[in-house]
Amino acid sequence: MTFRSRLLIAFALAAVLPLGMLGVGVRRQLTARLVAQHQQRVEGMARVAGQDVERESASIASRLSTLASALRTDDRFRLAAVRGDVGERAYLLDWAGQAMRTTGLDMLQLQDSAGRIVSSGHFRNEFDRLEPELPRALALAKSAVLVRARAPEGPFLALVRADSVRVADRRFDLVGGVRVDSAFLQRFTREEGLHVTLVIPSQQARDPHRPDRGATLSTGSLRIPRLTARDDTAARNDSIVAELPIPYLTDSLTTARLVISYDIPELALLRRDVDQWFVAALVAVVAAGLALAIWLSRRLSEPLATLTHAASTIDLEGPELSVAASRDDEIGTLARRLGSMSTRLRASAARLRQAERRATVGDMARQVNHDIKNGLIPIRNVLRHLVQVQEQQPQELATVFAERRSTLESSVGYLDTLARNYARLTPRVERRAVDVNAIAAEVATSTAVVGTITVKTRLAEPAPRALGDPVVVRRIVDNLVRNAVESLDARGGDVTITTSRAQTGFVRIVIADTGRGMSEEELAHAFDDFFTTKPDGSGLGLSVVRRLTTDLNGSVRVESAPGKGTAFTIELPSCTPS
Amino acid sequence: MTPHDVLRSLVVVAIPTLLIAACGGSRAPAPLPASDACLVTAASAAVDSASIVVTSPVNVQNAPRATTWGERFVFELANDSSARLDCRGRPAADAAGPYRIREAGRSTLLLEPIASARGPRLTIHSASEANARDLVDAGVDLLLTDSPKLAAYAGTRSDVTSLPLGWDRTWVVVTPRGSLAIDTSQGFRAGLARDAVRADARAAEGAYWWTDTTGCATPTARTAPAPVATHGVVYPRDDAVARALAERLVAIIGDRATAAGLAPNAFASALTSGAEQAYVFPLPRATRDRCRSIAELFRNTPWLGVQSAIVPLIDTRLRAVVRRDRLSLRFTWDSSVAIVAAHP
Repeated sequence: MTFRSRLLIAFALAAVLPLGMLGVGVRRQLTARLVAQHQQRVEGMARVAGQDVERESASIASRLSTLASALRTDDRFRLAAVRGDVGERAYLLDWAGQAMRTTGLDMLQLQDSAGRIVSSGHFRNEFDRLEPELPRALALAKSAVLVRARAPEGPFLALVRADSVRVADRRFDLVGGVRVDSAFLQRFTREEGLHVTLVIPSQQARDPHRPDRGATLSTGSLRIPRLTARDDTAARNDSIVAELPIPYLTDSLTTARLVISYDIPELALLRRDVDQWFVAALVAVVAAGLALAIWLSRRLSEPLATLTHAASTIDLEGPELSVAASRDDEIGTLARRLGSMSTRLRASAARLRQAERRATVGDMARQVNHDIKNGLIPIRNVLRHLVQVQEQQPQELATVFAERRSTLESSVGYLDTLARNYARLTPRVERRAVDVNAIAAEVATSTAVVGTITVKTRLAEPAPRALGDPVVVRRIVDNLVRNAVESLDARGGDVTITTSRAQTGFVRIVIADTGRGMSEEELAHAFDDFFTTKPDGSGLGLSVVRRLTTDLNGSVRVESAPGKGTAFTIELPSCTPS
Repeated sequence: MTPHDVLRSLVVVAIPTLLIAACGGSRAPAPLPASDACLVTAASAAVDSASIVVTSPVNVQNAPRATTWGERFVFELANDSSARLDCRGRPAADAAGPYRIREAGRSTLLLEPIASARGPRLTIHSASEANARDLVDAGVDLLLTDSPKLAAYAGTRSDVTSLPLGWDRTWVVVTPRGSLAIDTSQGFRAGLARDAVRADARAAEGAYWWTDTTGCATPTARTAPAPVATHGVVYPRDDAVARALAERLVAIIGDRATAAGLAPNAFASALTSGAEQAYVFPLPRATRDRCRSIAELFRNTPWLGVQSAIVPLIDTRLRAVVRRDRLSLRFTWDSSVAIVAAHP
């Protein structure tokens, strides 16, 4: 994420968060105060509704009591219900209907002591049906109870009470009440914004394996809406809720709830106004914040971007870094520090170049010294041999000279070529066929040996021919053989030069000795410049071998173990690819 | 087509079976009674106008297909008198009418004979039982009612004659799938007649024309009733007897059953579909063309006969309360009465 993006996000959060907290806080405070104001009012309404229900209950009880009293003096009722007079049976069957209409009840049922319906007002033709549980349960409730009354068109909810009367020593139960429908609930909605709903337990709620979820039930013309629980859900919905429990009789006595909810229109308006102002302020703040953030981020990030670009293009050979150095702020300080660092780097680089030049001259001198010594050693050896012959066997001098003349000429030629190469400073490597057997034999012959040291050759036939520069190949073999001889201690040993054809189109030269070998650490640094284990060694022999081999597109590897000798394997491109 | 249409068609078409049913005899032609054997009451002089009360809904919009017995009585007055038969099945040449409707109010109709016809102008009130009492007290010439209580009250006047008409309708319950076990015992039916309805009723009895399809071309391919749509026992909405019977059946069936009154067209559609649990409606006890009535019944209930059954419940009859020496009335073939234009 870029610095600019972070700056924008930081500004946005810094502007929006406090404003959001302010908006939420204001809304909550307003809601809490308005809800608190109206809560008592709604609870008062619930109390009034409860009193209304009690009044209705008392009214029903009073009407049932009146009917019970009238029954005691109703001779036609006695004739039909007590004496079983068939002629008055129609009167008995119609009695409840007439009484229901007269008393303004919506439900009226007369049962005998066995629970048999002898007359029903709301369902005239349900006579003779047994329903003994209803009056018994109502007697236990001792107050008005909600029941599902059965009617021909379907059940309806009724708020009922029970009474009883004894006629001719026979008990009759009266169950009567009023229909609980939307018109009944309407009487509780005395104010605008007040909603009354009746929530009754569902059929499923009676299943003991299922919890009571307060499901809705449709009864007759009354569709009872879903329960709104009394919690702060109501407040969120801009309404306050209070509940009034009412006994409800189904298979057992449970509780229905009269839910009174009151809408607070001003709360909704207030919230809307607050929301509108909040949104407007939010938009303004975000816009201003974004503009400021963009301006600031540009002002901050542009010099940084320029500085970054300049830093990425610093050239130690180029001009001085001068970007933003004139600023007097942190960026100016950073630019000046960067410039200072660049200056120091330039000085260091110059010193480094000078040191490199000096080191190169020293290396060159050591290299020349080394190569010339290599060329002079065979000449010195031949001269010592000749002097020895002259002193001991003068008559053989001419013969021996003739034998060693080629060595002298070869060494002189080698030195001559070396001198010409160094004169060119950058010697050009030739590419021509090289007889590696001849070079191996020449080196073996020219190498000075003392005591029990033997330099042997094991040459492939026909002679392998490598593609390269004969002088370079000679230098490689010469260096390796001399190293091998020097590695042998006083007990002596063998140095063997082996030539062969590698299967991969290369010519192989192996120089192996039976010397003391190398440790792992020595092996790891064997080809490093200036690494040597000899007191007077230059540490350049093997590094020169590696460089020359690489110049010929060849390779060199070494195998060695302490006390078991060392074997260098040179592989050079073959003149005739296999 | 509703059962009332069947009723209507049966009323309109003259057939000798009228005589059999109306006079309570067998379907074989009976010896003709005396010339005035069908006369109910006779007035010494013709009157210009008469008032009639029927305690049955009358909606002239339903003409000519009567849906209630009140409409059947009124619409019959509009028919050609020469097509009417008396209780012996003979043409009633002295019948008043045919009539035309001069005014139709909410509950009152003014009828007058067409130009060439004879008979008094008639004011017909369609009234509830309570209003009918007021009209009786005010003095009406003829009260036709199915309420024994009202007839009894009206009969307390000293200037009237109260008499029952013949058993003219049988109330049946039809269950398309035969899924309801309806008690067909005499005791059950008698209980229905005694306790469930307020009409002058008895347990259904006798031979029913719909059970005898001899010589009639009955459809062989019947359709199965539609799947059950409700748990309802339905009945014609304006029919108090059907309603009482349906409610009693619901009370006996149990908790899930309900009774529902349907408007004439809705009842006809429901009957055709067979999607309800049961249908309660009246069928005329007499028919002038048995095979035609049976065909009509099968047309209205295409599922009838598959698994269904027509269970007769009760018979009902009307009562007539007539002011003496005001109107001459004659029994008709279908157990109703007809106004006589002039006493012979």
